[in-house]
Amino acid sequence: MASITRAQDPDELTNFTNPGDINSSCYGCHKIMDPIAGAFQSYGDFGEYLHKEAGTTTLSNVYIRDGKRWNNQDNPLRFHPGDTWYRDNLIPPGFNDKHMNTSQDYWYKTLQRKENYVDATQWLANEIVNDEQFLSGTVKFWYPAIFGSDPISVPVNTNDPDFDQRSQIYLYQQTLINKLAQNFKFRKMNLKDLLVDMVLTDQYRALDRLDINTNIELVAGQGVLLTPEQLDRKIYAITLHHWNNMSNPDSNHKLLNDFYYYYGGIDSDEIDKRTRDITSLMSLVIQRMNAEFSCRMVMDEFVLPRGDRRLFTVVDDLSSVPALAPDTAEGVYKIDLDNIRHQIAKLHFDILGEQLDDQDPEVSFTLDLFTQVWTKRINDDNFSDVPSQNSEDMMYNEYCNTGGVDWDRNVWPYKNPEQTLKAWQAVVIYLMSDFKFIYR
Amino acid sequence: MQRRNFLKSFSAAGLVAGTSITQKALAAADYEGPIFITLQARGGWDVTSLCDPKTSYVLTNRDGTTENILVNRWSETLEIGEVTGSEIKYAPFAQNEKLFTNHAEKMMILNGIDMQTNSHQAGTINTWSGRFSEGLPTFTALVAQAYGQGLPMAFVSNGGYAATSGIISPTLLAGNSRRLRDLVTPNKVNSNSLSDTRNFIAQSNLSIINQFKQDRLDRLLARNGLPFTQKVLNQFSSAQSDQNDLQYLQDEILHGRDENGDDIVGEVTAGNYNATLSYNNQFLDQIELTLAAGAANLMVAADLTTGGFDTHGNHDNSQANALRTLTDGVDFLWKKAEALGIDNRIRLVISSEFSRTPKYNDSNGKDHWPVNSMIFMQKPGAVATTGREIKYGKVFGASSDGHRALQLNPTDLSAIQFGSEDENDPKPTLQPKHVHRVLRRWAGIENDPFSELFDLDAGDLNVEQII
Repeated sequence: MASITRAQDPDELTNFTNPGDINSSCYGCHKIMDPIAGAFQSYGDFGEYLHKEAGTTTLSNVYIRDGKRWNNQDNPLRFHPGDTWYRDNLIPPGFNDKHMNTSQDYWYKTLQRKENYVDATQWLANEIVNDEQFLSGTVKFWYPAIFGSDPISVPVNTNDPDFDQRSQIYLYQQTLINKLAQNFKFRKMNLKDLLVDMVLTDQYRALDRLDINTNIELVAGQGVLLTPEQLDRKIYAITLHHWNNMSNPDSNHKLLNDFYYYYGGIDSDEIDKRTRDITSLMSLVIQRMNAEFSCRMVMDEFVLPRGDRRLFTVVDDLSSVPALAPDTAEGVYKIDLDNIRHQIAKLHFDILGEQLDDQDPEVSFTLDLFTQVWTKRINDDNFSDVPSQNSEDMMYNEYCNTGGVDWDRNVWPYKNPEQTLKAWQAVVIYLMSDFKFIYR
Repeated sequence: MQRRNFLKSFSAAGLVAGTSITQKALAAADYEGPIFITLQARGGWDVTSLCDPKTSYVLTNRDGTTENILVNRWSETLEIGEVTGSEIKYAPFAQNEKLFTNHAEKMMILNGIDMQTNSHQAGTINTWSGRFSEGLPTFTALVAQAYGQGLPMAFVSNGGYAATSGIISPTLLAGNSRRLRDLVTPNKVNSNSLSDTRNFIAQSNLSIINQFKQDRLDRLLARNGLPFTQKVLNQFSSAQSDQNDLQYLQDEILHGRDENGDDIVGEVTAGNYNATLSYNNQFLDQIELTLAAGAANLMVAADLTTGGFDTHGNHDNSQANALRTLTDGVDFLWKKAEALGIDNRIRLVISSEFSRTPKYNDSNGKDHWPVNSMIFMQKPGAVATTGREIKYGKVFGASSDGHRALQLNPTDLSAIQFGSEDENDPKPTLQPKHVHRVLRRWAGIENDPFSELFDLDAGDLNVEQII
């Protein structure tokens, strides 16, 4: 809390034991915090609800014990049966200088009757929501979720090398927050409207520096790294597969478990800041994900009838090839270049969100990748009947994470002498490791 | 580079939150210099029960009356420990005797550090960056930037305070060693077996895919984009191009383990060490992976973290547990570093955001107290071509019996007795900004351009006396 400089003087720390004392420098922050703490009076240290004294209080054992030990009638500042808050607290429960009914006066039935609340936290929630600062506070709460990082704190050291730059950004962000907050108020605090307003800002939508003014160029644009939680959901939304143990669809999602911290996850304790800059180790998580995930995902797609697939809805099956196969090659071939190209354009849209014409150069580059992998394999005698032996191609030491699928069955799609499965897998890896897939 | 040009290029690269300056390595990742590690004891440790031992003191109240204040209950039955041939003293608490008996020869201690705050946040920033307010990089970020250009994980973070001011990106290494093996050999079907050589993707295919990925990235970079996007694309590109170097972690992760990753009896591993303890110390895994990165010559600096020190209630029991975890971790760190052959390279500094009140509160706890200590550790004789050596067994700075930070004479750093200060000519106390000057001198980066850029404004004490 930056309301006031926290006590620095050992003399003061020695002599003041109650941070609610108005003469202490602790008071600057505690006058805000303590009343709010008082509104949580029905809940114990671990969230228990009125768990002491026959369900009447949550106050500290020491306070209750001392109140019972001494004749409380002689000491109005000690605990009395039925109390829900500390009598010796110098700052009563409340919010923003407004006091809530407390101690022996305060009892949930009384409140329920008088003010239509069943608990003090409901009173507090109502007060918070009706405070003007709730508007900008809400914008700031959602800010990192939408824009990828918290708004910067006010620059204070004029000698810092980036002081001017940070000042510009700070002013821009504060102006934006205020504007969004006023719109939020105007729209009767409808959160959906606020989120829409946020994604309609230049900061969120800008793709090119022509779109915006120079003040926000350094924080605007594509390039917010997805968190492990977001990437996990994106993978499923696009592929209908989770990255987990392929043989057990109910197993833990690897991005949220095995590799969670390596990919920048937080535990909200020792690790409480999300990693926003990708590292080499994080890029290996993406590589591992594609290595484990892609072959099985592509195969599972082609097992299904075309109409039931998620991604490969253009090409009929794995017999579609981009060019004439060698005379010696086995298999059923259908030269289907147009559909392969169209399929690739669709994958660019489904996976990267790129809306490309079939003749777009990016589609052509991806088609080149498909063709190179296919050509290499179709012209290699070692691949004449691969993969058809089992889940492992011994010649190329290549393994598909089938999760128990029996590749010994000499049937399509496990038997793929047309050599298109690995070509499509290469395309999927190429797209699912792209900047536009792991950032937004 | 001239300072003006340096500043200009730095500004252009963008210092704002989340930015990073990426300069490619001049040579392959192979750092063999000193490894700087901070151990962040989170929550506010009690140095009066560690390296600045206090027993009791006479408090003069405002009305002139006096009372005897008990600082630590252990003092009712035990004497302060002393290290022979050293200025170091320690509290006979938790497992301190084990720590100081086995490792004091590697120590130099700064006591009486005037934190000027008892706020967790401000104290943390101050301890690890040298200033209250945000904006300075931590010492580890600074030194990693200075020596680690081009290393894929020059700066390793395990949580805690890791502000970089945009000069380097931290690698979060908190995790499981078996899963880390999955990552350093990402194409291996069974990363935790050396004999199983199966891959997911044929190497020939992988080469084709990687070439297309790089070409695509080059095209994205070549397009006119916003500075923010350009910067992120550069980070993305660097991360991919440096990732192959991480395979060198494989051998170091397996140190003391068989090919399946199981501990070998008698070897120094986190699992074997844990088996000797009466509790489960998860902190050891963090230490082990961090040292693996150092031994693989991939890392310059790292932050370790361990918590549990915010003992507002039941202080003696809870603080002892937290200290026990910390001191066992320090003991393991040096044992493992020796086993890996990198103990000569380790430079360890241990501290917290502040200390705890020199008295017990009504809940048998201790609250926040703005006087701190820092322990420096380096193996005697372990002098590298860069940086300096600590003064082993020395204690600099001082605090009173009631744990007040004492003013120091600026030239010789001798302490001015509590109550004898000259009100008309107050002398400075030892503060984090001075400590960070010491740290920078220790690492030999006091004249690094970034050290000059992030000036500490701490010239009022002659810290050359310390290092």
